[in-house]
Amino acid sequence: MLKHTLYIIFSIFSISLIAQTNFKPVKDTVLLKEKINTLSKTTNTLESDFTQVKTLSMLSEKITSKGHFCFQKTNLLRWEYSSPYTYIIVINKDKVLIKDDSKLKKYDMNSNKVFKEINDIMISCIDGSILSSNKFKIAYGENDKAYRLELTPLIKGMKESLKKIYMYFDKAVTSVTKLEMIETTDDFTVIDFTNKKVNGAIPAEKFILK
Amino acid sequence: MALFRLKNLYLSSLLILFTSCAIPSRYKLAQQRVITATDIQPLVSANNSILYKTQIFLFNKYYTGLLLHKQTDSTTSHLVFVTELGMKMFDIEIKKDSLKMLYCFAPMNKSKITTLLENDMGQILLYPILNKTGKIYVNKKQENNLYTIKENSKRYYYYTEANSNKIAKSIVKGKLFTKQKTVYKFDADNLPESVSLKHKGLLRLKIKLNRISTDKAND
Repeated sequence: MLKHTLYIIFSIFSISLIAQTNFKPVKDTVLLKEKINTLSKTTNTLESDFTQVKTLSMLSEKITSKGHFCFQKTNLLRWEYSSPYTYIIVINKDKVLIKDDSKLKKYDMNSNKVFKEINDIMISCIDGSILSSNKFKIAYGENDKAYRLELTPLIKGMKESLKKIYMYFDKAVTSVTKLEMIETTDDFTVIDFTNKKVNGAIPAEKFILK
Repeated sequence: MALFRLKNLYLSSLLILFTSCAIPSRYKLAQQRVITATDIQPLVSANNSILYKTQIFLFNKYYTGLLLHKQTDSTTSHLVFVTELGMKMFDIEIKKDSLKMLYCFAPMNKSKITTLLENDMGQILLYPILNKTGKIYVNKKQENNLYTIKENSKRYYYYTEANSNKIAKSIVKGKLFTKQKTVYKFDADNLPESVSLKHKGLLRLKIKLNRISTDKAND
């Protein structure tokens, strides 16, 4: 009996895994690109809660962070982590502001290659400009629930750290629902966006830290 | 007058140099032998993984994130530093007492930086002293011990807390003006709650670690 129950549980689990990963190539990529371009053109602000899970594959360890994020065109971004500790990072044009333990630090984006690289990826994924980027080769996939863009880095400096980025959109292409970043070491980060609010008013103070 | 000032400066520099190298007089040499985990409590154990909120000031750059220490088998553990946004910055493999940088994020991946990080992380985890032959000095008034060792032109000083084998601070003196100071604080469960390292010299590095519970990061 136990054997049968375990078999059923295992089968259900396997089917759900296949459903998550079974993406077929998109037949009409022109239409999908148009939808994503329309989305990026019509999205002026975006707010969302997020859950970020970093999986360190070799260590079989997951680190979960939670928070809220705000985006406003052009190049205004706020990641506010509330767990496992409070940490706010604001990108305001070419300035990086970090609030950590009530201490505020300001940096010029161009003075730190690491920040610039991470920021470029994040912003271009959210505002859709990644589609016109020559930094990635893009493959378009779909299943019955979602579209998935598979981005393979092409440029030196990025190829050494990132193997793939997967961007997931709901079938109506109303927003990015999930981001997956696979590193060359096979560690990966999954960011799930929930409670999204598109084109709502975001107070300007959100992108200023004092 | 100028010559007098120069002479004074020279003499005071020499005085500082000599006094900074000396063992404080309140510490008396007790014995010389292998320093074990009974003498100084290791910072990490094989049974549990530890997660630290981490700030790293490297030259004029500032990195923040999470530092995880985890044992992967009986002789190997890893120190992995990940930024808040999820980017892995480095992964140091620790096999027995030797640290090796397995991965370093491209902009930081320079031999001077990786060696500095390997050495200073090893210093934080007390690898230069544990299971090595060193001198033990006792301070009867403050009831704590000082353990010293000299290796590869570096002198290491480890001070324990009063009436305890928990490390309170360590100082490493190297060539010229290279000096490294690490201060440790433990919580009520005898786990290292915070660690602060300051590395002075041609290469400058500051590391601040504050422990967060792994449950909090895994919920």
